[in-house]
Amino acid sequence: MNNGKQTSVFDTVWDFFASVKVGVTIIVLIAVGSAIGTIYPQTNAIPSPNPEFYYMDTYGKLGDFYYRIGLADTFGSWWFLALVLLLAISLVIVSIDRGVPLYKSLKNQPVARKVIALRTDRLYTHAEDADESKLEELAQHLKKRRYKVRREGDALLAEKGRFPRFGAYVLHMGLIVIILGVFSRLIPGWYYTDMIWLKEGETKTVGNLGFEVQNNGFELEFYDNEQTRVKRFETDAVVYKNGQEMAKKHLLVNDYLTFEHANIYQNSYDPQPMFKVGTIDLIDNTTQKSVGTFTINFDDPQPSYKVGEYTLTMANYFPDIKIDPEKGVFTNSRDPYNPGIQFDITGPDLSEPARQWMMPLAGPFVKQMLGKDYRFDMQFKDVDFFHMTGLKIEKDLGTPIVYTGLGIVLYGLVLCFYFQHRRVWARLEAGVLHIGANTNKNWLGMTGEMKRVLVPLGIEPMSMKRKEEPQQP
Amino acid sequence: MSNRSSLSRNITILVLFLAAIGMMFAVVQSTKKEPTVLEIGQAAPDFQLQTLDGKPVKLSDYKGKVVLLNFWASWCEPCRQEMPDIEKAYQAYKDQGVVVLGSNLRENNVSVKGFVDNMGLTFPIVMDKDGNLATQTYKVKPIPTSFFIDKAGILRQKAEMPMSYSFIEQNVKALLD
Repeated sequence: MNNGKQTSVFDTVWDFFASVKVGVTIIVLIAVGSAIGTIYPQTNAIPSPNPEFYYMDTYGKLGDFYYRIGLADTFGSWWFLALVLLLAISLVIVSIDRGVPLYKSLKNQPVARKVIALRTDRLYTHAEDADESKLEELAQHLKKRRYKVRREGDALLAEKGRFPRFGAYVLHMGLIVIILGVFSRLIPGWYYTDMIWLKEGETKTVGNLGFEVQNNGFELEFYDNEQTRVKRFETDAVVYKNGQEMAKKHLLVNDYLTFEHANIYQNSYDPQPMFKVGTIDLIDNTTQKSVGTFTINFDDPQPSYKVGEYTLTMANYFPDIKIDPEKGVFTNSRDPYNPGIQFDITGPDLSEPARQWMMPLAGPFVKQMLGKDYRFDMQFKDVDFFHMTGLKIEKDLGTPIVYTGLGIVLYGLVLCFYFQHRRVWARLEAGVLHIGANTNKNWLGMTGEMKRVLVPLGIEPMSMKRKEEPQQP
Repeated sequence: MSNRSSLSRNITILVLFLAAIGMMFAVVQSTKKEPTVLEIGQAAPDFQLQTLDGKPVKLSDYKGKVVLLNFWASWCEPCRQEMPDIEKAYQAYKDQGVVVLGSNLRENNVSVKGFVDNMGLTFPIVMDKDGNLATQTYKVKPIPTSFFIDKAGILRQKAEMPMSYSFIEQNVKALLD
């Protein structure tokens, strides 16, 4: 480039990015980065709001490292974005570096080439005893085959498919449009993604999108009785804005609700069921008779329940009970996955409150251990469980830009693969018509086409010479 | 020709890099845009909530007292750890004008009542049922988080960890003087 003259930083940078090797390296790095990003789940797909602990806890040191270097949010990590931007720079520079000279040279290409040059064309033929009318005839035939024919005295240049020569640059432009579309999410309000977990009947505000989503009912169905294979999981979702119902839909997987450019997807559900409401039969162990029933809403427990003549006061309620020899009894979460309730039962025939546990999920052994001195037995007559539904909210105004970019890329690929730049030169010199032809690919097709042009003119058709491809601009 | 093209080249490179750096900058900015934290030295935002006993309570009710506002939940292990120390500090300093407000994060009254009884907590518990006080007003990220608020209602110290008795004592004493 510089012919040994002083090299500026700009020239170095330019040459670096104009290199195909560099471009390919960047693409490979992007591919490798994306691939590594699939090893552990990304932050938006983990069942925890605290990724800084989740990766350490779930996958150990390696997981923590994975999170720290940004692989847990591959597409949002600085190095990935830097690579994409470097690719964009490389694409622009490569296109200018190659495309502009190509455009200029094709624009300024001479109609008349020297006969000696024509003779060296890979496709070459000549006709003896030719004259002006032969040349004109050739021009007409080529025009019929949709060649653009230019004449300059006794020389002719016929050309078609010049634009497909730029297919690669069209493709580059498409890629740049895609990158712009992806980066458009930086514009405030253009992009939003989040997961929300909703209990039945629960309503939650969606980030700063200015609306709320309510779970009006969640259905879960399995193929088998062991509940190992899920058949369907569906949510009745309602969207509220400023307290007003704006939209509702029965969400299925891949059948989403769109509200104000935001898509609300049925994404997942909490596999662990929660207790909703339970009706409990209070049985007096001395008489083996039922005293009566009471109903607990596990999300909204009452301080006490009245059953017959007895009053059951909740002394302790652990919605998600854990019993640890060192840490004691505590709740593991705020949600009723595994309720443990300690009741103080008072009644006319009880001088002091009888304190006893109720743990519906405790095994029979624990129940027996705990219950051997209990005055009462509590049996669930009826219990409702529910699963939390996981909805994904996604808003991306850049999507149409990305699709446009993909369309351009596809168009560029079609230009590259299915169209050729074909050129035919002819020159009349000393009664001999010299004809040379060139194409950037599909030489066989070009040979066939020339045959169909030349045979009716009584000119011997061309056959390919075995040699290196001529380097015509 | 070479001069002109090298000039346009240089401009191209400059534009591309400026655009790329601008985008990177925007990315870094947008990822940093997490909810800001409350600055120490600013006035503690006032609030009104119900206590566990069902009485309304306002932070401004305690003007003139040193307030330790503690955000906790019974499922949070470090919160359980620090509770005895907080109670001890409350007992030691309540007569000198120190109030502890334990703000419970989105739990039901029955569970909280059981927890408070088991722990023997005597300071007022406020029920942050929707979690707005913690997440919106006080921008609390991890729990436990505690704020030490001086007599004039200014945030003086923030602790995002289980506190020891000596830590509480040291901070409370500084605000009492």
